[in-house]
Amino acid sequence: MKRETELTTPKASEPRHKHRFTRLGFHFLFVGSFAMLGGAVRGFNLLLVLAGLLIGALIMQWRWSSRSIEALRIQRRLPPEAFAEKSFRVRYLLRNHGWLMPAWMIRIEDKIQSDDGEQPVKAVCGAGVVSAKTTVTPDFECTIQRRGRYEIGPISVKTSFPFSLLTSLQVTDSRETLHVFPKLLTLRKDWQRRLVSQAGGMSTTARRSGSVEGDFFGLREWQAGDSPKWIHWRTTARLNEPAVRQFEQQRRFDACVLVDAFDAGQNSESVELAISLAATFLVHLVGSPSNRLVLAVAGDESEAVIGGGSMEGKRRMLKLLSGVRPTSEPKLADATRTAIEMVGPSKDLIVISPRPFDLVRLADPELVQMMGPWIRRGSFRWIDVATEANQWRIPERPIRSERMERLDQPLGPLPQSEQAEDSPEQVESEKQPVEAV
Amino acid sequence: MESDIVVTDPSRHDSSRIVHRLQFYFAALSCLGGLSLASGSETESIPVIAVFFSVFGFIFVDYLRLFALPPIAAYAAMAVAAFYCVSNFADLDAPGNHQMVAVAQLLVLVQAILMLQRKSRRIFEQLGVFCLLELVVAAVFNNAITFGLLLIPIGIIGARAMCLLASVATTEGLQQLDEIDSEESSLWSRKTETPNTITVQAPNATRSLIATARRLPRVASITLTPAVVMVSVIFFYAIPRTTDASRSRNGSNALVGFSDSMNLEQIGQMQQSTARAMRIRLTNRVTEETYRTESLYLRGRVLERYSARLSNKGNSATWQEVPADLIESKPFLPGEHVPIRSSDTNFYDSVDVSISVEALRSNALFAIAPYHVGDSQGELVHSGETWTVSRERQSNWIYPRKTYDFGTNAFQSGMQSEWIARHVYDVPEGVDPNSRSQVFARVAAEQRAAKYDRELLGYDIDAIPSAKRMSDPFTTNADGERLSDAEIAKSITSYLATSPEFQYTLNLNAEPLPGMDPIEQFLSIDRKGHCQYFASALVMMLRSQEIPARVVVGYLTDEFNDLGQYYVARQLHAHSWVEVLIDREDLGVNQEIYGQPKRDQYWLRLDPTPNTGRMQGSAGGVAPYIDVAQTIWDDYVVDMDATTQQETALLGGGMTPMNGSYARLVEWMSNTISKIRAGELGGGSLASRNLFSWQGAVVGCIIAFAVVIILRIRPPAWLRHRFRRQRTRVAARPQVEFYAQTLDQLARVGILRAPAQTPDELRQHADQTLEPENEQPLNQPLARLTSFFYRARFGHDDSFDALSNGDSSTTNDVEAALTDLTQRVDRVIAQGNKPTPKSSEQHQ
Repeated sequence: MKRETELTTPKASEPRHKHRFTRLGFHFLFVGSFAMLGGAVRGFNLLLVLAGLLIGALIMQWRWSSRSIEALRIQRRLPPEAFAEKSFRVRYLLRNHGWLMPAWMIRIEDKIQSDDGEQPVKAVCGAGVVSAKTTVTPDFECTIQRRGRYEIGPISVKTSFPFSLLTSLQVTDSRETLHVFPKLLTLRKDWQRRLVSQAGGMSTTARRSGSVEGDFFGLREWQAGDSPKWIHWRTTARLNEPAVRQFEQQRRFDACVLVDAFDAGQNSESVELAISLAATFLVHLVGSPSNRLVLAVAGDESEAVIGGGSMEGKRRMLKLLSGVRPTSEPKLADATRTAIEMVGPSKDLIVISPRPFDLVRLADPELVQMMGPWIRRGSFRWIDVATEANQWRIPERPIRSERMERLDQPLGPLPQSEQAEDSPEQVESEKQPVEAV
Repeated sequence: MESDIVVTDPSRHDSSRIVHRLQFYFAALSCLGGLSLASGSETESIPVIAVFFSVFGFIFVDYLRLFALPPIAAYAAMAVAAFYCVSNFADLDAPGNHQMVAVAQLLVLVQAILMLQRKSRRIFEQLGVFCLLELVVAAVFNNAITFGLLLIPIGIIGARAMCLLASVATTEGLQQLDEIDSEESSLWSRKTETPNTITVQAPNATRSLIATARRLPRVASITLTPAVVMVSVIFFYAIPRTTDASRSRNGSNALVGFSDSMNLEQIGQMQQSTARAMRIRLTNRVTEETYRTESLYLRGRVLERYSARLSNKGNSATWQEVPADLIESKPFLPGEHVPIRSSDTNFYDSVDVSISVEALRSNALFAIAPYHVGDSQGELVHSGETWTVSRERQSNWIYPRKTYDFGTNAFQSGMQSEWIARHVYDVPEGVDPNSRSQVFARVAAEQRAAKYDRELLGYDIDAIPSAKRMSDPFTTNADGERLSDAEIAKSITSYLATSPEFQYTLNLNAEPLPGMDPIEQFLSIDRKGHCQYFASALVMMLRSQEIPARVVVGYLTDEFNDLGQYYVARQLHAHSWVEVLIDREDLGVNQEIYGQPKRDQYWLRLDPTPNTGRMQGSAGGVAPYIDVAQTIWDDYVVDMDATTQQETALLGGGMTPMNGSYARLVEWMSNTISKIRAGELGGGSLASRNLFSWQGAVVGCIIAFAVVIILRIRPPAWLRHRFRRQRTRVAARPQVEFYAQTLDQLARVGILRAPAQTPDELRQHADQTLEPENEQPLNQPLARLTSFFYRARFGHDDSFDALSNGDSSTTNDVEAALTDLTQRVDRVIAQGNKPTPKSSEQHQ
């Protein structure tokens, strides 16, 4: 089991300080020492004046930048969750512990490195001024295109104020792991019904729980069409108006979602789509405490995880999905077995795959055998995203490229509507799940 | 949703303002840097180039963005500029300090090219560094206060510019200032654009940074400028001085207005320079107040010999000194004359004179005769016959700035006496004047004086007949009696000075007449000229009347600086006048010359130049203030040396032990540098064309090592690799004796155990290394030995103890296996197919 450090407070390690000459600083040092040598050896007093000024500037730079950087402490605040292709915001708490001196022109650099050994990316943000004894919260917005595990850190805080002769650097060795969850899709309105009704006799999937009507939820005024059965007589008597009971119509899902991370090397888009679709289903379904869902993943490794209707369960599932490595020979049977071992056979089995069932059936007879009970029961659903993805999701509008074009125009004032679109809240609301369960 | 409200991004506006400001600051810096190089006539073009290109570049390249020099063209242009300037530099025969000029030109030209390029952060930095280098060059050959004055705006603008650069560095990669931030303008660093899986934007941070950056320079200049200035002042005054202040040793700044000879030529309009030649401080010795006088004659050189070169092209004439052996020189000033009657002191004022003279190309110094020794001893050479002071003659062409002082009794009630007692040979104290050597010396002196007297009468009546003709009428009075020499001299002088026939002019544009002596032409035809012509003419007229006369060149000034309480002699105050030798009898019985010893002959100063020619140099307005500033600049900055440091005791003057060691360090450095220049480093091994000097090599190695340490340069990969391999290749010898022997045997065939290699791995490695080509496999005994070792080392039984005690049956087995292995190894070696040693690490 990999050690997870996500969302834990970074261990407060003592930051390291470094002071480096910049290119200009080296030039200054060189010219200054030349002037000093010439002035001292040959008696050119004006060279000494010049050397004095250069050295004065260097000393002031050194004192100022080192003092201001030593007085700073930084902490990172990662967002609780991050999805691929959706921008998230990383905040820092930058505190100036100094008594008097404000810190100017602070640059914060954080390293984001993907698990699969790609070149690390430097995330940069900064703060113009941090007054003494205050805290500012600089942030940056990050969009990661691919799900996966990313390591963030160490943070370096640097300043070359005032003269850019020296760069004073504080390296805080706070490393955190960020799981970027698969991209969420925008589902069609009827996705849940389709999931329930299709594949013959799926009514069992959405089994009503509690009383026939559902759980008691609250009271409201009577409206035309309400069944007289629902009238709450005592309240009606008290209010002298008919009031009816409201029920929460809960469907209890008891299903195993199996992701077939099959990638023969030519169609990685479909696998990602499959993973995304699974993630989207889970995000919507796991939230309800009455649902019992098991996620099984057949990829490089076959794993299964149970989502208990809690936030933590949801996160666990997404984390598993974010780490899936597709393979050309996914062991679907193993994954199913693991899932069964974990919670026993669930009512329904939903397989999300980038390939049609027939292909798999031919390739892996063991799987058919294992899935036999579900198939016979009719509570088996094979979603081949390569062909039926668009039946589930609403395809994205190609707004992105358009916007990029407009952003590329220099100095053009942006209409307000465009700016508003930048805000992550807006983006979020666009992608809100369409229907509350 | 459509919106009609147009919102401009304020941070974008701010960032463009920052870019414009940076462009302006660096244009100003390159302009001022070029101006600081302006000094002397040789460097006139330099500031012009700098100013033109910085203004042009700022307007057309930065502001209007009409064009920009592409990098490749800029590099080519720089190469051309470098070639041009280096060719100037190498031209060793050219006069003046052309090398410095070549360097300055190169700097300015490269800066001009940079100004024409599209500005990136790197270009800005380069502009700044070039400005700095220009200041260094200027500091070496420009001592004028303009340098100090220019330092102020350069410092302020430089600080602001660097501040903005710091903010640009902070926002690097944050898009807004990418316009100048990117360094893609370089030809070689063309980035390939790859779509990133991770994109980061920090609009809030960018806004905050840009907004702060705008007000940053103000903060920096208010808070930091005083600090920087204070540090540099402390540095400047606290650093102990070990050498004399060098004032333009290579001296383009030296005064050219004064030379050891005087030329009479028609050279056109003469330029009047207000450059200061010297500063004279007069102090009344009794009252210790500043002594005021009407005008000051400061003698520099006395010229006796006249020679004319007549040709068809143009005539010229030269006044020169007599050979040095005719004049007795002593390395000290004469002592003060003490009058016999104390009442004599009522008739003259004792004045102390302190003169600060600028750098000169002559060893002449300036004095008020008669002078006597003052506070500063030594370093002054006194020429008795001519009453002039000079320095020791050096091989150097430039004599640096100098301050010296002496006393004089030549003033009375603010008037400078026109009489100077003639120098006579004086017997040193305590020596018998009748001794043989003294008699010889006196005779030699008398002969010298007689020779000198003849020089004073040199006159060619054929060349300059007008002198005789025109002076004749002044020799007799109305009764036809010949007047005394003094009277003749005075009347001729007043004739020249007041006659309307003669005009003073600085425009020497007369047509030279072929074969005519310039003085003759002045007297008979032109009748206009400057002081040199008047003085020359008067000398010739007097000599034609057999009156010994000579020309004195120096300065005549009446400019008094009220602020600084001193007199100033400028270039335009340069003057020449005449001295005539008068016998004491001609003085008249009642005329007494006070403050000087009684002599048989006296020199009488005559100034034949019309008064209109006297330069009114004292400029009003701010001139005195600038002059005082220049004085302070000179005294407390340019001429700061150990003496001044101690005198003023500004900061940590005096020699503390630390200063002493510092002084030794500087002295050592100075010696080393001069040795290097002389090619004598390493005990002369370089000088003798021996290309290797081990001292040099050691020093080089130490320096290189220090650089590596300081810069923390990582060694190259191959070196590190080798270090690592060497360090870690062989494992430590095991404690179990028989296995150690086993390893020894294996080592004979080149199989070495790497650290962290288990015995089993070693065995496999040995198998693979030796097996394929060997009929005598080592694996059998080695396998046994390995298993024995495992048992001995990790086994639970007492094998280990047993083995070490040597009293077990296993011992025999081990020994048998070891012998077997040894034999097989022997055979392998005997077969000669010893395998190439492979590192076990590679195998791993």
